[in-house]
Amino acid sequence: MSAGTSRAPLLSVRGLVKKFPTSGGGAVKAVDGVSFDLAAGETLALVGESGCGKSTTGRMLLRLTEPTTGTIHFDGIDLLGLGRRALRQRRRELQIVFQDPYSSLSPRLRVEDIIAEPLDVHGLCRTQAARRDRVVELLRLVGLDAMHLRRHPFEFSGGQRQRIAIARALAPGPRLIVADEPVSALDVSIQSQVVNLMQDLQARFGVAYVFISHDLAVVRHIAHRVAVMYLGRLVEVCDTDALFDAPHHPYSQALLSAAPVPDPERRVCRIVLQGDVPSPANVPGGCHFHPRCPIAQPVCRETVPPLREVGHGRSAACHFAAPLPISIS
Amino acid sequence: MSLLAVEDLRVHLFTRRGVVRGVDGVTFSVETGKSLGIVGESGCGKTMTALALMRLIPAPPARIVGGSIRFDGLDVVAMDAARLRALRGGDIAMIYQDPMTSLNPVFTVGEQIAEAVRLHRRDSRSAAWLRATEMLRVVGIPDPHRIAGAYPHQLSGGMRQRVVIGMALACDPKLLIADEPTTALDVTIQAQILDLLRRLQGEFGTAIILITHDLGVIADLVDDVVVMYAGKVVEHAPVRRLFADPQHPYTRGLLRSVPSLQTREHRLRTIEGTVPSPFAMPTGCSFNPRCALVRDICREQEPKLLPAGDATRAACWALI
Repeated sequence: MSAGTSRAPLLSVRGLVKKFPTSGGGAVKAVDGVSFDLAAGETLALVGESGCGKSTTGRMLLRLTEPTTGTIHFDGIDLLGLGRRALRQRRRELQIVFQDPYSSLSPRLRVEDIIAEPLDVHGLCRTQAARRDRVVELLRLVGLDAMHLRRHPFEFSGGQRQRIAIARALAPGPRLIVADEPVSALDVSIQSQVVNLMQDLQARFGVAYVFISHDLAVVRHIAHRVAVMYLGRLVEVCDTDALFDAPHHPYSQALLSAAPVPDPERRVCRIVLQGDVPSPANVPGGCHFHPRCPIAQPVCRETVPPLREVGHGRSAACHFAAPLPISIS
Repeated sequence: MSLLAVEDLRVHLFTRRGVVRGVDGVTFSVETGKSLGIVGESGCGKTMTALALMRLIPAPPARIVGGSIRFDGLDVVAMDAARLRALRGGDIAMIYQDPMTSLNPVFTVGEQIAEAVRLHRRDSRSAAWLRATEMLRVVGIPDPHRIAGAYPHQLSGGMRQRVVIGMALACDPKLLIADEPTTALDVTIQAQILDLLRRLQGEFGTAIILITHDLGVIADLVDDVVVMYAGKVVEHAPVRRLFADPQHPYTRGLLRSVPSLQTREHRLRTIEGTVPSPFAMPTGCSFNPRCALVRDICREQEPKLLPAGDATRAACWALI
């Protein structure tokens, strides 16, 4: 399932930190020491609730947000050491799809020019005819066709716009696409069409995805591995099936059990966490999760649990990480 | 007699591009203390239906062009302005997706709840303030006396939604309309709010209309479900029956396209095609261009909502 973890990873992230300055002269650690690897052709999902740092992490992978510290190696190259020109060239292989297909496409451009923009930036088409042919090919790949070339974004539904955004990301032939909540704004019947499309494109072109989402059911279907984030830190990383079968971190367990299940027979078997997610500007000491954790002990208030290997390719950041098969099935 | 009886409700929007039948012949009823879910995708008319129940539709361009709404024996469509004011926030309360849009940023949350109480009950200031802090306690806000003095921006999204629910229930409404009340919230907070709504429904005996696109939320909370597509009710069934044995092809497609948490499928099922443009509705059944069971009659005549087995009604020619 997970594409060959023994090979050198396509993407290798170590100790990634992002601090944003606050008005009071302090700093908010939006991302606090995130490390993971991603193999070519693999999908890693970053899941967590608002403010956990998943989007900031995704943006840092393309240097749309500059990391404060840490390293990102893409295909063995130190991305953070690249100058402007070299970075721009490298971005041909690194693309992004955003959540809102209403704001991520320029309303004044025609579909042809939207999709051709990365081709123009990287000088990938020598003639107008070649450019047109490539755009039509991309439109067909995402389930649209040549008849849509001259239209503007407002003439399309949300699902179709997201297909256009995917075609644009695909245009320069990337090896990694960061997809930040790509189906969250879509209705369910359309959401599944776009998930299927992304899987088809991966099978065909071997592109790797960092799939950022809060929707665990979608993640279960698209991801090979899942990284669960809470307040800027990874709390559990493992194969998708292993996570859903037996989450080890108490936060993963609560997150899985809180997800509403479309089955009225199973109403009252959830772990309902007390309290709110603390503000990233004022995080608790020790384990960030301890004030809401049902199994917290005194040590959790004092000591940050490191993300450690707990067997079978699974890492968890909890002093008491243990399998707890929650009753979701 | 039902608490609320909606009969063949039609709300049309008169726009420059033409007339849109936003709500096109919707019929349902809600009994005292029961809960009804209205589910459907964007643009299906679920929110327009909810707004029409309190005559809150934006007019112009929208107008109720037909049908009736009877609440507690009263004709809402014909109601005068004074009686409507008493109804809104009194016997019928509404909560919305984004609590920030229902809270005034320049008043404390306690003042806002007390204001609602005084408008409807003519209580003294101190009695209304007491009621406000009492409601904050009821909705599970810690330290209600302190939080009553807080401004909305000082609270988290989940706390704000609790405040809005407390405000809605402060005047003991008979019906609470909740339009996507948990959609803007994180999943662990959503679970808290759904638990709260379920508990309060038991305590207060309030009837609830829950509007959502999320079938998981529907399964969690309501007794009966109305499924809407393109302005019409396509299926109406008790919640267990709807999920166990959906009748209408659209309901079946919708349930199948929800990815499951329990199993990983090779491919997600989809409903092919997209919702038709409101300016170019197909003739006959609105779902016919996306339906696998389509026959000639589906393109010619609109199916009526008719009994389709145990306590279920569905609008589909294939079921007749």
